[in-house]
Amino acid sequence: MRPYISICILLCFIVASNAQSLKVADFPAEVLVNDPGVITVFKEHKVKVKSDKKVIESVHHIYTLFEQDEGFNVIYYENSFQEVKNLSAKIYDANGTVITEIKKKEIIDHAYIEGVSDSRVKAIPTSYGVLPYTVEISYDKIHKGIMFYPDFDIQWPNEAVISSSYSIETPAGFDIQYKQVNIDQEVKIDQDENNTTHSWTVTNISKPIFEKHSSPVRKNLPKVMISPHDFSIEGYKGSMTSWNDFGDFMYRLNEGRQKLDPGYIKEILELTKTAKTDHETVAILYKYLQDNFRYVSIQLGIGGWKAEEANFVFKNKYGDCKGLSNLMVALLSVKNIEAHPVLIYSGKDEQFVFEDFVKPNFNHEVIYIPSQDMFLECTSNSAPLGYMGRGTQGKKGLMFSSDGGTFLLINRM
Amino acid sequence: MKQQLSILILCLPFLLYSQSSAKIKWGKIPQSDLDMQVYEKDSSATAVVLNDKTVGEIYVFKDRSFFDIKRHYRIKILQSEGYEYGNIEIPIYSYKKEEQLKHIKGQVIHPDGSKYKLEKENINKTKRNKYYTDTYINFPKLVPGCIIELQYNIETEDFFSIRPWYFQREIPVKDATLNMKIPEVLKYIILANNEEQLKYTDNLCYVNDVPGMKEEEFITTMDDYMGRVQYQLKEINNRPYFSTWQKVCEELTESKYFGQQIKAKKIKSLITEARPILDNANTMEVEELVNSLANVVYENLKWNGDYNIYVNEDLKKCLEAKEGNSAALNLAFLALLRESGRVAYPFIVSTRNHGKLYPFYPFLSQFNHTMVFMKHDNKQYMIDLSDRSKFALLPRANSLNGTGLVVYSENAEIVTTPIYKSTSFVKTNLKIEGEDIVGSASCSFKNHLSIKERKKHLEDKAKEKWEAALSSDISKATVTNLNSDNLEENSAKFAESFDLKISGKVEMLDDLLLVTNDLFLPFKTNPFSAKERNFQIDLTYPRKYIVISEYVIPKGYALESIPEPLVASLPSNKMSCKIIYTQKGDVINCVRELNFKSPVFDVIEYQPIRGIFDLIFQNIEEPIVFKKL
Repeated sequence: MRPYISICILLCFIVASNAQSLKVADFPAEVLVNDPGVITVFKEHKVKVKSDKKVIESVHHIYTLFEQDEGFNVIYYENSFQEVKNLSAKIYDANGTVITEIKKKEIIDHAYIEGVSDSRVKAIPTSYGVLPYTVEISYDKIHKGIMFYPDFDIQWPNEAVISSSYSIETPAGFDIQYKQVNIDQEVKIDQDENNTTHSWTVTNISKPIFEKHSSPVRKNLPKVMISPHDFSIEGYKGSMTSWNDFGDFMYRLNEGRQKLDPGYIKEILELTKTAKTDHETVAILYKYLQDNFRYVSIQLGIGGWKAEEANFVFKNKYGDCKGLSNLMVALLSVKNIEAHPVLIYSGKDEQFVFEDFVKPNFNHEVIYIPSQDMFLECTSNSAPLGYMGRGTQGKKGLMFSSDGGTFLLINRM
Repeated sequence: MKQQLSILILCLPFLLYSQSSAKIKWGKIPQSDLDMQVYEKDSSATAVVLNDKTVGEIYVFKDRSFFDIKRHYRIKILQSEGYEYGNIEIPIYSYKKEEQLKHIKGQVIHPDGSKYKLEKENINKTKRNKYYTDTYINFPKLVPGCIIELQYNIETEDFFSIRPWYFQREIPVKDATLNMKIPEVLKYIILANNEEQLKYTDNLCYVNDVPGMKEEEFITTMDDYMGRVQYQLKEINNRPYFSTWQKVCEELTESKYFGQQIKAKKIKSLITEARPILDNANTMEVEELVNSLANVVYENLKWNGDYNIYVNEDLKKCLEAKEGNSAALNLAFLALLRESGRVAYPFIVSTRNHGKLYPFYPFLSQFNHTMVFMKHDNKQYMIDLSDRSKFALLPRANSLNGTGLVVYSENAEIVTTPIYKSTSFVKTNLKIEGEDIVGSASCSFKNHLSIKERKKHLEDKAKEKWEAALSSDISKATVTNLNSDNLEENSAKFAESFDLKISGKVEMLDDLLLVTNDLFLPFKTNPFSAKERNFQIDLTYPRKYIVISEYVIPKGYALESIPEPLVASLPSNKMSCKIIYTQKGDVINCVRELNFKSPVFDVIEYQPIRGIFDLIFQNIEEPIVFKKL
């Protein structure tokens, strides 16, 4: 009996599959120029916002590899508030004939990084010995609460696209905003009684060519960035209508977490009693931070955005970038020196951070002290006072305080 | 098996233990340890393990039997650079709860004696994958000079191969003891690294003052050198458990994913395709036969990058997917070779990354790769398929790890892998044109040194590779007319030639022209620049590099000076080098030869080798100087 069932299922699959031929010989000539390493034959990315506690993201992606990739298709998820379901994957040869269907037990689920983190990965083995070949992947990702809506990532540097579409369906009260980057495509908006759907479709895009010494490759790729206006995550409500609003959310999320026990405060007052100026106080406290605290990576749940409490960090003498920054703000406030956390993207490459569109593409936090016009990197045990690492120099960061969010530029040194 | 074991142990009169002599009591820290500011034996150490006591004990219950491994250690953190040793990671094989981590207890003791307990908030767990769970412990309140003290138990149901006990780490270890309380019914073999460090009394083994271990180059794998002890079960109640290599071979021959794959029915499509070769096999030389059959396998199977002694999937399925692991390629080849009437067997090894093989201990877990062993006309051949860029009769460099096991169906033989000598020969004819050098080069490579070169051609990246290798910060190379002799051939040799132009290679200084003859160096920077080395140098295979360069003296110039000759060798003559310049008419001829006659060099040979390399790198910085007439 069993073989019959599988044959039936297989047939259903083939029938349900899309119209574009998977035969490499049938691909339109215009997408083959510049020798792409991969061609997206068909991609359908659907986001359905059901409520502020449930968003369903469905991805159906068919791509042909002309160069061997890492051999895995990787789906990232955050264990505490995301779930990956209905995962299926198939491999076709250059003629579009199914070679194999990936079995559930072949999919590897593992931690994304070494260390304490909620980030996980489902790795689907997709390698096949003869190039070119085609991979078909489909899955649903269920978000229990959402701060970021998935973007429409149209293309990667080594990729050409035959057909790719993105749609986001939202009920009343869940307005979205979007920003088109490096693409003129018109948005299509459909409205029914309950929902509004924004969608984009692109066809036949060839592999981009980048010249040496042009601006970073990533910044030249086409994409549509999507953000909610209002959002909620793990019981916290916030808004992304403006950076000021988002800064306000960050401030509220971390409000009260700078509180220090009286014993600790006494220690700080004792330590800084010889300081004659605010600058000296800052120098003493920064040295104290560097000598006594260490950076430990801890990223759990909304911990990606919420700092560990200053008391926790003070007691244990360790924390991650937010925990250490938040503590430094707390230490300074003991001496009435105003300081605020600054979110930033640290790294060699550039991220899509635009002042006119709210999408918090940050991965690091430092602090800013207005009276000294000084930034402090709180994770380094050796940086001189006021020195910022290479990864943050020349970048704009979002400072947040009770006044909301403001952009500040970290100068090159 | 597990159940049987429990019953066995229960039935027998319990137990003869040896007594532990290690003394380390929770929280009782000697004043001298609190006061320590520098570790005398290694003043550069940022932290040192003061004590590390591990006690292993077997517990047998009706429903569950396990080994309880209790670990208790102290680390002195000497400087803030050593804070990372206050972040502890304990991986546990959590699948079906086969291992469990229990009773974690920790504290930090400051130099003034004040103590701070490890709390729940300092401990986090992450499920790495289906099989492993990692526990991360971050000790609080570290200060320079503090001591961290940690204790935990691991209960493991794996009696057969008990997790290794490392008595050596990156940082020095002052005292460590291992006390395995093993009932007499169980007999273990002890596999140890750096055994000379270990001292024994009955079931107790201990070490004192083990130096820290830093990673170095030209080494098999650090794990081969890190001091450790591993217990492997040998007998239960006088009955051998996994007794002999012969039994291992019998088991492999029966195995569904090993012996049962070496069948004609598994590789029907290959046989059909190889029919013309198989029909003429009797008339073919070994090399020709192996290469043509290897090509048939390569047409149909690509290596997926994984090593294993077992095939990753039934060969039929591998052939459908056109891909397989190292065993799949080699066992498919073996089945095909047998079809030709030749006598051949599987040959299993432990690759260099996997660690060295203990030939006296018959445990299959020591191996991770399957090759092919063939005897013909009293000659032995090792065949190892990977991809077209490598000669099939040449094992992968990674497979050269001393010894391996030939799997005869009812017998076994440990065989030493032969030594394959590699050569690289380059001849250039060069002319000076202004600030540029132009000319041609012809190269030939043999054995392992040929693989990368052929691969670059197959990938169409040879031009790119040579241009990068021949350029420097101040000069830029252009390579044209690139030709190769036997690209498609599966051969131990590879030859290529090309024209080259290197702009900016010649330095003009008033009426002088200066040319440094540093092209085609096997190492761009000195690989032996470290002052000291703690491990033997393992180059994998012996190798000889020869570069002959001819420079035509530019018109209107005369030779002003050439670098001094350099001739040097180790007293044992295992390694030698020669750089000689001669003038013949208007041609300067330079011969540079570097010869490692052995793949392995002892630690005591490091300093002489380093000395020779210093001389080589000094010599090649010296320019050839021409002066305007």
